[in-house]
Amino acid sequence: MPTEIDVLILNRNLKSVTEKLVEALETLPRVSLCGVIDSGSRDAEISSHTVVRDSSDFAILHGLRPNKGYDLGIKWWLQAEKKSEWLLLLPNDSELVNFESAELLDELEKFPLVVGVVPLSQGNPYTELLDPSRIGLVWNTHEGPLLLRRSFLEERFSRQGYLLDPMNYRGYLSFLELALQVYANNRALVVTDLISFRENQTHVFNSYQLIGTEAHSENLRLLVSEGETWLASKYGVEDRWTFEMIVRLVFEEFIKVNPDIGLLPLV
Amino acid sequence: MSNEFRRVMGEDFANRRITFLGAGPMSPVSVTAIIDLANRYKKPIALIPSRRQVEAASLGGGYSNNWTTEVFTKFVRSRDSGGFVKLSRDHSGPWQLNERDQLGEVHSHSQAMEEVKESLAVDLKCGFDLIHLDPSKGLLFGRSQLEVEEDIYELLDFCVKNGKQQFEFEIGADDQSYVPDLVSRAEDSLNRVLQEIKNLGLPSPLFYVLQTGTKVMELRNVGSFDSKLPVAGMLPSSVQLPEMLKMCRRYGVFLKEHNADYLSTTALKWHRRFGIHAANVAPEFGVAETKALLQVAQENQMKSFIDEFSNIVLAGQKWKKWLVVNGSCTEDEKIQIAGHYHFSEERVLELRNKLRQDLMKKSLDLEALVSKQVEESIDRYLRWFGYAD
Repeated sequence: MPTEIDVLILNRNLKSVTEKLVEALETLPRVSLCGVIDSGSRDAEISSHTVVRDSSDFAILHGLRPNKGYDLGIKWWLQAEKKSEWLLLLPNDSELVNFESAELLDELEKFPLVVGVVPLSQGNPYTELLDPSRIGLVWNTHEGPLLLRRSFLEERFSRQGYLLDPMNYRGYLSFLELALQVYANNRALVVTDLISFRENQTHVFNSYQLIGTEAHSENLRLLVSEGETWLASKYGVEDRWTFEMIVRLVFEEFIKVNPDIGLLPLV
Repeated sequence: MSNEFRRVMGEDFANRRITFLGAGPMSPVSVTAIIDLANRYKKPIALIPSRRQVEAASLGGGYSNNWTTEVFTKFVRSRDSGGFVKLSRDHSGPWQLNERDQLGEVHSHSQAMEEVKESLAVDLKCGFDLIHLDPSKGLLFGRSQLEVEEDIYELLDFCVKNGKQQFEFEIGADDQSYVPDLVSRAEDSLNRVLQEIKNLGLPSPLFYVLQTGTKVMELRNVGSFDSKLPVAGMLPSSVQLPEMLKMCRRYGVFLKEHNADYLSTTALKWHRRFGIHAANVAPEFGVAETKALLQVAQENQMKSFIDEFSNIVLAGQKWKKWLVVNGSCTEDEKIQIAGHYHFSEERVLELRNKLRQDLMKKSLDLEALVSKQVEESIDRYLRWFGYAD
């Protein structure tokens, strides 16, 4: 039986945008389930596809942001009776560009070490480095949509209780930390343009009051300042370069240990 | 060719993870500071005049102190008692000085090549240690990438035939992009150029200029290298830089970064940790001098100096090319950005002289105060690049 994808979309106070995204995804090939994680929305903005919701005072006031929000969704998904081999996590400001899911899932079957896939948006320079397989190994990517293998999620939640550190509230260098955990466990993270989304930034620029977050520039400032505090307290490093170097070294070690993995490192 | 420069770059810099500094000769103050610092650290620093800053007498000299190449060389050599300063021509190529003739017509390729050869002949005669051959401006005037590469071979051949002394070469264009070069693309170009250079029996370059993610706009570095956040449309420097450096080692060239001005101290520290071989900084040192002049004048209520100097700089509009589109650059910032372009103008020299004399009456030495700040600005790079080790 071919492998399938379940999709969870993170929503905060953007019901109509979220519903449109669900409609665009739920009938696509190899998509088994398409649900919504609600991150403290007002009642009127809760999606009809919501499968799990945090209506705590904190969530209503601040929102969960991707790290806490995805963790809430993953916990729900891992306890669900029926789940697919892969889980796609999406912010609700994603817009579908390409979804060659069958090609991607069939290709991933050849690479059991691959546990995470980052869909590339149009114009991402990694797309220029992809070989004809359109899948390549990476260690440093921007935060955004994320496709994860079920076994990896089960392992991470049983061992540490989360995937993306909820203490890193705004998600500074979240995917870099994910790459560290992936490669440190001799697993692999890839990018692909076989599935692709674009981020519709008009929502964060124009609708932040409706969504209930800070203005975009203030959010970026807090992302860095709070993120650097988190980085220093968790890893004892002062800047992103140091953390990047650590992850790169772990990645290079993975390549040495797995020279025949059959995927192109995109460097 | 100079094996000594290559040895120094390998043994004293690359192997010890010290980043070699190329510094712009923005004025006599910055040039003197660079010479003093090189002699204090007893390590080489390159002075990197562009053709607009310092040019052959026959081509009219440059805006920096109105220096001709001939006079500039004598100035530097006479003060550099330890011989630590490397004279390094930056961006020598067609259309890099004048794009048009006196009638406003764009120079033909052959005219532009003749002009740059005239400039190069004087550089070589004056004993420049390093020549950056950069015909990339031809891309704006209808030349293809392959034709630009042909220009490199022609200019390199010219230099070899006309150079009586030892000198080294730097190749590679600096397009002031925000985006680090993709290694695969850079390698294709480097491989092709080095193969052809070898086929022609010409010497290999010492430096290869690659875009590491540095870009100067207004008074800051806006490239991806020094950004704490991911930049859309770019690979992080930490992905590309180690690969660029591996590539340079494979091909026996040293990586030269351009536009390293205004980088944060953390970014400078990482030059050594990444192992970036060399980096060029220029406008920041001119800006440091303008800021120092204005600060001294401000602190001593010399309003007439500030007003007239500011008016000259604002009217000169040299700040225009540095502005961010739809940015919010203030008039004060425009003056800081472009002040150094006017240092050698007669009226500015008069104003500075009067300021100097007024301050002398208060027992203050204007040039010492300014030099101190310019030197500190340059020394920030040297300390973090490892010159003190």
